[in-house]
Amino acid sequence: MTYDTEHQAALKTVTETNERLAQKMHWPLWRHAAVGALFCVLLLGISLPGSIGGVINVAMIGVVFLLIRDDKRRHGMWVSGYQKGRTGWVMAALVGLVLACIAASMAWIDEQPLLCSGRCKPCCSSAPPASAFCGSGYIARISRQAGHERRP
Amino acid sequence: MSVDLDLDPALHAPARLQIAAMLARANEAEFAVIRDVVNVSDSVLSKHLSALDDAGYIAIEKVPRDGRQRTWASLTKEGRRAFDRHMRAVTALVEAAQSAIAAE
Repeated sequence: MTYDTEHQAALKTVTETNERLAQKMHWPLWRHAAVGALFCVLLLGISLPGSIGGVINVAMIGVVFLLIRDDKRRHGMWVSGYQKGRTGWVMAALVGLVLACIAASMAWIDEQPLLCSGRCKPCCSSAPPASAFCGSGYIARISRQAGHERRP
Repeated sequence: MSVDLDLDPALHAPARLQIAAMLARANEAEFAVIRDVVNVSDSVLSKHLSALDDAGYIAIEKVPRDGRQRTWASLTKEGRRAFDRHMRAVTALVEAAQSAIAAE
């Protein structure tokens, strides 16, 4: 049945392409740490009073573009990390956690204006960057694995 | 069989299917990286990229770097939909064939 063999070959071709791409998708540890630091700066910007927060967030957007540019220059590709399936769920959980921490931080701002001055604030502040670091690494890992796992 | 209708002629060539599969994972990729992953010559890759561009499945951007023009490609929304549809159709055809063989 050449017709079916042709389609089986097409699926095999896609699997092999994913595997070759997976071998190229290796980002250094500092790259994941940088994503974690970005979340940290985001929370810092929101927590700080006045226009300092806005300046920090604008700077953070600039750093995002620098990271994208570095990825493109160093690896010849840019991978946002969002994919359907497991990566999507990890991203959703990460965003949910960060938003919850931001909401908690904003609630405490009324009581104490400086970041980390409350007893619970350090936990609240460290959760997003820590989870972003782990999430970034995990997303990179399962993105690479996805190619190996997607079998016809 | 209805899945036949979802098979996309623009993605039928193995190299084009590989390019689409790669760009479905990486948001943007440079010509040299695509060439290495797809494992084709520059001229063959250029031809397939043009065909996918003509179909509206990829966006091609020329970016100057180090005094040279670099070609970057990314999958369009239409291209992503077409790739997903095509893969579903191919998978369904293979599964149907395997079921038919198993039933014999």
